[in-house]
Amino acid sequence: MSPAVQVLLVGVGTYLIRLSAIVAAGRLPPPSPSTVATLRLIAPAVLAAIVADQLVVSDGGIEVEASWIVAAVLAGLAAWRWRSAAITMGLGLAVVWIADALT
Amino acid sequence: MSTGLRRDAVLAGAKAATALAVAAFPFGVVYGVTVVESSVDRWVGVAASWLILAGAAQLSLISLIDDGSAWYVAVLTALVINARFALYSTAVAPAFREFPARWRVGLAYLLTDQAASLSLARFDIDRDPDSRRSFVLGAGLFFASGWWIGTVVGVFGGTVIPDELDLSFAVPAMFIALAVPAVTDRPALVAAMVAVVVAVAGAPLPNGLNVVVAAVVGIAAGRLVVRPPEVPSS
Repeated sequence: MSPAVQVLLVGVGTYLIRLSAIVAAGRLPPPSPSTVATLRLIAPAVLAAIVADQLVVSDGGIEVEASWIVAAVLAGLAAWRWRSAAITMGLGLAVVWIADALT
Repeated sequence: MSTGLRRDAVLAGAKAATALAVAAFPFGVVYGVTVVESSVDRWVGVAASWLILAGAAQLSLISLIDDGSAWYVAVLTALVINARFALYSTAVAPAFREFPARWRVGLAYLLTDQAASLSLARFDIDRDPDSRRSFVLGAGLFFASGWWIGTVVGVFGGTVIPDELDLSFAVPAMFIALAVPAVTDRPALVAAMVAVVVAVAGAPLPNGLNVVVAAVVGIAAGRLVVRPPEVPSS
């Protein structure tokens, strides 16, 4: 299937997800606390899995680059402390660049 | 016929989204460069920013397509990543109910992580439906603009970035910037930690399935430590 069609499918699917509860709100009871508790876990679980995949998984194997791990830990601490995407990215990139320059 | 649009609230939304839109710009550039370096046509990559409007899912989709993944794996992985929008949809639904139908279906499109967060914070202090939807429009459009402009610059100007400027870490850094603030309590932390372990352990799985499996196992693990939130008495 062509990339364009895949993009279209994800676009339509994503829009329907965004619209789902907004449309359903008037017709359904509010989601149960149990459902909400599950939905709240989706973002951290998926995003953490992607981070791990991006950092150390390559072509079905595990590849650890020390400078990336250090940069990831420092960027993670920065994200936790400042909640700023700009600071997180800036610090992470700076650490990798400094590490590259030193080695 | 008046649209009921409140200019001051539109501007307030745009102002609230300014820092996030500025941050979205380099993300968009990184995404655009990723598109250029992949086998995916640049215009398809640009169109994705309009059609999907979700950075993590777009990057995942482009990278899985480029890896030659099965189409259903690429599409489903992106949709699993975007499943979190169901939560935002649920959270904003009570406020959106007071909007005209056309506005509900239009503003749903702009429901990014950032626009949803800003809007939910605004709803706490602003009860007027016209003002609320004006704010959502301003915040949503302004934030999305940062992403769209960044995408176009990355796709068509990406090669102006000097080779010695290694931006390869920008993608994991972007996901770190999204993931860490998403960990708001202990169940979320458990879900994230378990997902990390499973994603690495599942590295040999084909078609990027390790990410999907890791997410599902992480969510299940998080559920084991979840205490259902107390129902607000209001």
